[in-house]
Amino acid sequence: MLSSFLGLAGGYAVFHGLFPTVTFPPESEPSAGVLFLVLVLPAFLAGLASDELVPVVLQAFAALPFVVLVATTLALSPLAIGMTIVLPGNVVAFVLHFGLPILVIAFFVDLFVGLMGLALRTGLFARAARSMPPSWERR
Amino acid sequence: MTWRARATRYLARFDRFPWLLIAVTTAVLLLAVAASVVAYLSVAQALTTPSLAASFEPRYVGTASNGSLLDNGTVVLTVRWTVTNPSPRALTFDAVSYKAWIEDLPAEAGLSNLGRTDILVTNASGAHLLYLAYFDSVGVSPAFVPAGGQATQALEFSLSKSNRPAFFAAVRNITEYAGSVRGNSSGIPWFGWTEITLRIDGVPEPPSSSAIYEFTLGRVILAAGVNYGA
Repeated sequence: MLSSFLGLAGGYAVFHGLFPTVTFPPESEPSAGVLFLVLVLPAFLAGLASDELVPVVLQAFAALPFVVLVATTLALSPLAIGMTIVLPGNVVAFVLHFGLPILVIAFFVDLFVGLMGLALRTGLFARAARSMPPSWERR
Repeated sequence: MTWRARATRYLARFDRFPWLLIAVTTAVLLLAVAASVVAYLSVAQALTTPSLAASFEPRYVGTASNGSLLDNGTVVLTVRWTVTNPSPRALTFDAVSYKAWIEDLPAEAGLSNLGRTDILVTNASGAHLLYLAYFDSVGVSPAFVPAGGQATQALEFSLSKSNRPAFFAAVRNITEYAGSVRGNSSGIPWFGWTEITLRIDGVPEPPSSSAIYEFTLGRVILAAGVNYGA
């Protein structure tokens, strides 16, 4: 589930990187601010919602096909009204070719920012556990 | 209740918080995706649905009684572009390219030593020799084609001895021939081709370093007529 969440964010980021002029918000070129927000925030939240290290690593890998799927679906969306901007047969190659830099960045952001989220969660849990009054155990 | 159970309940409350934020972020992302799809579809429609109708109307100013151009005369070519835009995006005229050929009647009649190069065109009505009298690409004032509407832009291009002497001399020679043989020059056939570029409203101009496909996404290119070449 967190992989699909990361895939949605990554796919949108790749689409924004490929077609910045037609995404929302429209930009003349890919916006670093939008990409940062769309990649970092979901990765951090996914890490914060994860219990252990291994799922964080696995979901960074598992998000990759979702990223390609979301970006490809968005790139093919004009087909829904019978129009073709990018040829359907070429679209995956198109997304992988032009979207590869953002795809790679998305993977590492999912991994490392996710680990940061996990670290924060672990720290918060440990702090919360320490703050429990010892008297609770005796009651 | 043991402290462990209480702690678990306390921590469970914190545990829900990231999921709440994930739900909100997912909703925002889905809205952004939906807005992007709507924007992309409207741009796709703007790229594929508009159509162009163009007309070329030559007018001879400064003629003799038989219609032949005088040495100080001018040919004024009025080109009209009518763009029909059924898409949900408005368009603005950006640039036009055009070519206009006049049928070289003296060359077709076999007169030699005319000193010009014609293009041989064969169509249903036979073989014709066409002389390229006008060609240019110009930027145009940003006239607006409303979404779901139509707009017409017209420009006049003049040809005279002062601005393009060689082309003017050729056209003048053709009108002189028509005037002497046919009695007037008004019926000389002209052929036109034009290509216009329109910008799609709401699509920012990408920087010059962008990939070519990014430029093509923001511009509609429409053509009318047959381009017979140079």
